[in-house]
Amino acid sequence: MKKITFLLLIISSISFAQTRTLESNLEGLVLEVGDSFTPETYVKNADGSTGTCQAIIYYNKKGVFNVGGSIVQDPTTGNILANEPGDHEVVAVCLDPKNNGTRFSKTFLVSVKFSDPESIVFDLQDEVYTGNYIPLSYSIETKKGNSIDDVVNISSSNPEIVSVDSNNLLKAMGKGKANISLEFHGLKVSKDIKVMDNPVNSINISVSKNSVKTGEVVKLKGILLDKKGKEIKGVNPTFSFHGKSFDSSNSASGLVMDNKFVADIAGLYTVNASFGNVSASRKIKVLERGVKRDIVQLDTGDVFDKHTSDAWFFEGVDGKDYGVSGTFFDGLAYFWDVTDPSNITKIDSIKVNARIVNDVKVSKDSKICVITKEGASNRKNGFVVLDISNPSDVKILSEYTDGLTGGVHNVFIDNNHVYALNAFGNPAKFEVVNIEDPKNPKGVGKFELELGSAIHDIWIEDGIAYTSNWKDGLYIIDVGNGIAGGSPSNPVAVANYKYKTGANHAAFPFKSKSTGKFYVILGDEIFPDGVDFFAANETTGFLHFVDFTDLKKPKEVARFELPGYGSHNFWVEDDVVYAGMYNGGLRVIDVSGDLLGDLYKQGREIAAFKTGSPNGFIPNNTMTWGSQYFKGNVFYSDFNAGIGALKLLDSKPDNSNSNQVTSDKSFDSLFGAKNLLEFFEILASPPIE
Amino acid sequence: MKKIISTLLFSCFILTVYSQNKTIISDLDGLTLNIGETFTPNTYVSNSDGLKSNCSNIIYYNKRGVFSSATSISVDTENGSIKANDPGTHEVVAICIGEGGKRHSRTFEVFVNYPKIKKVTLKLDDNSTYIGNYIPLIYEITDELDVTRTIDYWSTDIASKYFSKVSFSIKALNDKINIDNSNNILAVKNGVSTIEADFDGIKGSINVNVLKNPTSKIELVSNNENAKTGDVIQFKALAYDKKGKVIENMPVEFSFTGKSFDKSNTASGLILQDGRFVGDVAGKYIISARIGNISASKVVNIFKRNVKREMNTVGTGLVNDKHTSDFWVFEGVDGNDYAVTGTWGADGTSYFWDVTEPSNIKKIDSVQVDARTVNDVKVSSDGKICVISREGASNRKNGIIIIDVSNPYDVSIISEYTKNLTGGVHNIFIYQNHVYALSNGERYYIINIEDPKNPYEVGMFEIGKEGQSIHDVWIENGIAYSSNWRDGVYLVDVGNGIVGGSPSNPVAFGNYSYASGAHHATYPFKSKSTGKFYTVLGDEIFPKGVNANGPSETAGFLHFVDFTDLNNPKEVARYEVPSHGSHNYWIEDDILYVAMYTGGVRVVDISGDLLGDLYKQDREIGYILPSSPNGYIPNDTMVWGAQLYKGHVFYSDFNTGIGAAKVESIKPDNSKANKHLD
Repeated sequence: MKKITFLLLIISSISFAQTRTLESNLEGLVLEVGDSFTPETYVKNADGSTGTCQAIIYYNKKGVFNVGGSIVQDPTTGNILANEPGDHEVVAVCLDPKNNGTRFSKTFLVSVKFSDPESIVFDLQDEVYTGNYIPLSYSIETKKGNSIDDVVNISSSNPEIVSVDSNNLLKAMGKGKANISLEFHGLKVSKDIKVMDNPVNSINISVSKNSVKTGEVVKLKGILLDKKGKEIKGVNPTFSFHGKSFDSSNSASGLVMDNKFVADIAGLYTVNASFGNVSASRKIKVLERGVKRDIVQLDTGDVFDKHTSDAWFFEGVDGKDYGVSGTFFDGLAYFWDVTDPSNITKIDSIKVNARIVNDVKVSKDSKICVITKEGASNRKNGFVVLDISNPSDVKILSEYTDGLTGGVHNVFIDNNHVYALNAFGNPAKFEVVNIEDPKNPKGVGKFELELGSAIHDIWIEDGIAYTSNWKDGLYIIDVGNGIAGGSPSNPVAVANYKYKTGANHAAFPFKSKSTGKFYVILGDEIFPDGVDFFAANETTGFLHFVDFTDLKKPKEVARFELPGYGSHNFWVEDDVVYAGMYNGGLRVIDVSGDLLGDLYKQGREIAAFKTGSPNGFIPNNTMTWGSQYFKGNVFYSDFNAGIGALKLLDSKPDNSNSNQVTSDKSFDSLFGAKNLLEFFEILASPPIE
Repeated sequence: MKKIISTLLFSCFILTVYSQNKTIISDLDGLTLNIGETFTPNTYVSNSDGLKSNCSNIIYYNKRGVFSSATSISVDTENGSIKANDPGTHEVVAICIGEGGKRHSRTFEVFVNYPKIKKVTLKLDDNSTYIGNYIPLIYEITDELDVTRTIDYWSTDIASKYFSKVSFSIKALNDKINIDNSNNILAVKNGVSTIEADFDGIKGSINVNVLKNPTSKIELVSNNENAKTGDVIQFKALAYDKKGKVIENMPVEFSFTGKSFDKSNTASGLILQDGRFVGDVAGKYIISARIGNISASKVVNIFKRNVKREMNTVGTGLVNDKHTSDFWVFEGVDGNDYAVTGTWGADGTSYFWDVTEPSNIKKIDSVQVDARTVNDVKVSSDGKICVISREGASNRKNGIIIIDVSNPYDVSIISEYTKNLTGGVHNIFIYQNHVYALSNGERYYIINIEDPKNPYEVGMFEIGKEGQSIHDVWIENGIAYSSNWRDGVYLVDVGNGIVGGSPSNPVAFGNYSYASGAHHATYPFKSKSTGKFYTVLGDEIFPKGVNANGPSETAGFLHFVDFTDLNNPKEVARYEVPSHGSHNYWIEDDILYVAMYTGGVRVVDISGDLLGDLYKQDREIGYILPSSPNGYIPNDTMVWGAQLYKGHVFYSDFNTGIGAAKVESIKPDNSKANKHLD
């Protein structure tokens, strides 16, 4: 939901004037990776005359977001830079001086190719054992220093020693020597390989546990022994599994990865270790996780006349509990007394010049609240600093707009500094603003991303900023922790992790209490059919669990994906995730223990609650925006309903209502019974023949 | 209580008003009884403030599956006591009727002790095995009441529960066999050994012959090295001895591992011990075959299935002043296309529609009968007769209504038929001049309508069990497929001739039931691509009950049961959309058109062999989520049924009426992703 201002700009700019067209030398353009190109674009009128554009913007229409890095425009030179091969759609947007500065655009297809291949570099072991697949990695290097991602022809001089199958996989078949060659567009390289008899006579397989619950990770170990029973070092078995679900209407499901096994479905599983033609196995019994619990709604703070955005819950300086929530589209933020979560009361509101107050945050001492502005009528957005020492009487202290006039989508307050996103600039950046004197905020630093990048959210913990950057993924930035010498005025990037969907929208650092591992949970945000603010929308995307225990080697190990529903904002506390899953509602997820694979399928969901309301801005349309675990209750905001508080109970969900009518309004539809007892009487009476 | 499990509504039978701040407390919680023992529960309601409140009436029933006439625990409604009849863990629901008829309910687990064990027999399919293999031991336990329970090798969960209630130990009498702390039995050395199991002091034993593995090499072959998600690959392992000679009939164990091409996903698949493998997620998979300590492996690539197509709504016929139930689309006698829809929990109206132009669906006529719900509507294959079902009639005469639809613009009631059907008719089917009408959710009657003015009963079918309950019936090729909740599907010859059946002499010849007990609809499916014959069995589950005036959660899925061998049905695959429940569906040309209630209309590629989790295999071709801001419940998708008709996917929706959609030939486009559509 964050890209809105940017997209508004783009969408509203496209007015198709049929009498005039854009002409450009981008048409049919072919570039090589690494090329820079100066586009020339002009307007062609119906009568054949040409005109110029006041200004021209080029952008790459790619993936989920139109800020794809495969082709980017350098704003300083106006040149197009080709970064990745493929056919790319480049949109030229022309500001037309003849039409009150309105804009129109055209999409051009630009092909980017690799330059000619120069060499093949490959890695193949010298010696292998029979019965095993032989790992092979290679890269095709170009004259310009890029690698071509393509398939090479692989052949073996002696297929009885080393075979090559239809998928280009090598397998050691028998003792002897073979020469393996790789060929690509006339380039050829080769290497000898020696295949030896498998020295492994038996495998001693062990599992860390042989009776677990779904989602519980089992460590696998296989010691390879020779004929004399001596351990053979330096080689590892391949683990595989099969299983049978206890429920005959289900099927076994699990995962073997990195010498670990996890099962998703209760059943009896067998894990195999094999090396060459030798194998051994172990049984693992997997029972249901059984973590489901009841969740109930304590109260709601209804906002039905507009959309609600982010919310924050905090203990006020008076020791009572409060909440603040933002809105779309009239610049309002609401303040709530949530001291009694069963009796949520609206206590104040603030209106600023903005269409959207997307984000709201409160300082640790609960004296300052910062709210963001987008779509201000004077085009000065930025953020507003509020005095909330009395949340029933909130006052504006100051406004800060330097470098942020394009709109602020998200903010974070850390250590007397506001980190505010200028998400839609090129380059995208965040500004760091000192608010020690909240009446006079001062810019002290900024962090800029690469050209063509975008930023969506920022979260700070222990002096480390975690920014979410759509296709560029997560950046971990030292803003005072010291790990890389960073400070608020000198943010230093430490690590980066990106993934395929390109939809990284939120990040939450998570140090697992049960395992000590350090994860960053990366959330997508995807509206596959776009966003209609006045109707129900579909959402997709999920939470990616990236093991960052080794900052230099982040590894994506698990995910929480709710098929048919998308992720948004979330909170982690005590190894439990509280996730706003948009139309999927609020989900509470057990993330204790080692995490591997499909967490949803593993039955780790503790509870689910649909936060929509029949009286909501869009009736019955659940759209849980975010969640915060606060003083034992689960607070949330819902795009169509406002805020609310939920409580997780100790009891397990009850099935006594399944397939029963639970609405008293339908009494009269049951055989005409006036009340329940009459209904039972009717049922008990003999049929009338 | 039996009558309650009848015909109502979605098959819902009891009214509850759920209040979250009140909890039922009962001494049923954690109760253990002996067989034959009676118990009078003490149950009350506790408010959130800790105050007790009494119930003006408390009802208990034994819940089994989705429906509630199980007899393992019987209830004496006169004096409010329960009696234990069968051993095991049983669910007893307590319903408290409080002030003003408000109801609270909760399910309690009651355990009934197993009788004392009299005899233990250990069994194996094959008494000899090879070194390195696990031994799939089967326990046969006979109790004092001469009831024998078989705990087979794969039912470890049931075994664990059972074993936890008795003193159990197992040992091998020598070191040829090793038994681990989870009682898994592994053959480790060549020679004969004896396994001895002890249940409460009663012993059973079996001899096992552990053989040296004659296999020196395995050749693993498959019918494919590259496939798409959902495609079943058949693996075969050939065992060779030292001399290179093939050894026949060696027991092979297949396993797999894999790596997804997308690092944000993880490999997922299923392998069966007959060597069939299916991958759910695109990636590289290694399949291993193992005989004792000898193995071989083979790598296959699984690519994306790529069957997604764009699907768009073409037209709708809005009904928003009441709920809509079932529908039927048909070609009228004039060659134009028409539809009929029922209504639910309302005023007994059925609507008729001209759908000749699916983009311009027109309401053309209606019929109102004395009923609360017209749950089902069907039209004869000649387009002349429509039959609608009645429930909740004010005069308590329900039955069916026969309507002349030869001019759908001016339909007229021909006759009403209520004999044996006064308890309410939930579903009907018309087949070869006969109406098959469900009666009171217990059985179906077969009614001849050759003369539609004078229908007459010719036959009846019931499964003949205590507490029998039936929900739907569908007929194809002279075979009636009835859906019977926890008793599953019954295949009944009503004219096919396979077992000599006829409408006046229906004869059952096949049955399959499954654990959830929520079997609600059946569609027979002869796969064009494989020739296999499946019955697709659909659940209907409202986990938190049905709210007729607001959104309801739904659950349940479609079970694909391979019925190619009528005597040995096998559940092989399922179509489950997480968080959404199945309702009614249609299959044509190996494509499934399914109404998934809150999950909308889904179109699914079910070509080829079917195995495992069809949804995860990306077999879904397209979907729409019908709903309307002006719907009876605004913005609430609740699709009731789907029918492929002349190239369009028609559907009825509980909150919006009828609609038509089209599966386009183009693939879905992502250009609108994350864009603001003002």
